[in-house]
Amino acid sequence: MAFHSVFLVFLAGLALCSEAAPLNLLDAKHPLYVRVVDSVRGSPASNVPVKLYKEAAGGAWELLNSKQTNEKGGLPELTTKEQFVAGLYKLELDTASYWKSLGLNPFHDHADVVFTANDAGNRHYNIVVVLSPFSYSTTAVVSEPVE
Amino acid sequence: QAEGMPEVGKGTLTTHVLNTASGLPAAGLVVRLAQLQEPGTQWKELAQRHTDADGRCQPLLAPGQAKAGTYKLHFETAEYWQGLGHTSFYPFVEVVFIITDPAQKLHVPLLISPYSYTTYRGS
Repeated sequence: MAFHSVFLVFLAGLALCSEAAPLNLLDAKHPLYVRVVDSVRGSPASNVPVKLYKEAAGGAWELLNSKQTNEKGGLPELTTKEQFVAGLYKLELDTASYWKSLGLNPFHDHADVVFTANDAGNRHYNIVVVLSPFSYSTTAVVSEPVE
Repeated sequence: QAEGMPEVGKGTLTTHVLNTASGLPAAGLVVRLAQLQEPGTQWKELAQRHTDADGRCQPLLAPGQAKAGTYKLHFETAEYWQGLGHTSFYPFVEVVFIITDPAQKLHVPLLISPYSYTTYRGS
């Protein structure tokens, strides 16, 4: 009995921790989740303008959506499962505007992330971008095909 | 930063590509430099190189060739990973940066792994 109680408390604690976690890897609700972090201030990078493009026939980039990161540096709803079909995508982050709004002149004009998505079934994509005025890093965490 | 390299003149642009999964330089990777033809949106290719066994290549801009403006380095990373028998997330990596002082020597390295990359302005 005691063991079961401890185990349930442990599970509840885990659930609480993952809800509060600043970085929810493999977000299950949204097919594409972008998170941007400011590595100078150790904070989310909020209000970063982000554009999502898809490669159209003929090789041109077609703009699908244009949004800003929220106060947590997150962009959960750039696309929907219906819209996010197999293809080549580009995320364009206007990082220069972000740094300029803080009074800094950055090295990069913007940060592009180009990737192929959903070519083996629907997956969930978490794209993390870590920024500083003279550097950026991006990592992708991709789930196995879902449903 | 450029240990072991001969002295390069002012105003050159160099890169260095490192495979962080293996901890080795990324050799044989194709790099292209283009310049934005402002005020439009067209890019003009200026140079193409491929990295040597040390992950480096000859400077992409000759001394005196750099002008203030917006430039793009295009790295053929997927081709590189395929050559090693790996899949990778990105078909290529592009780094778009601004040259404000054409006399300044610029070093723009790239660290790559199959699902991540990092780029910075070095020295």
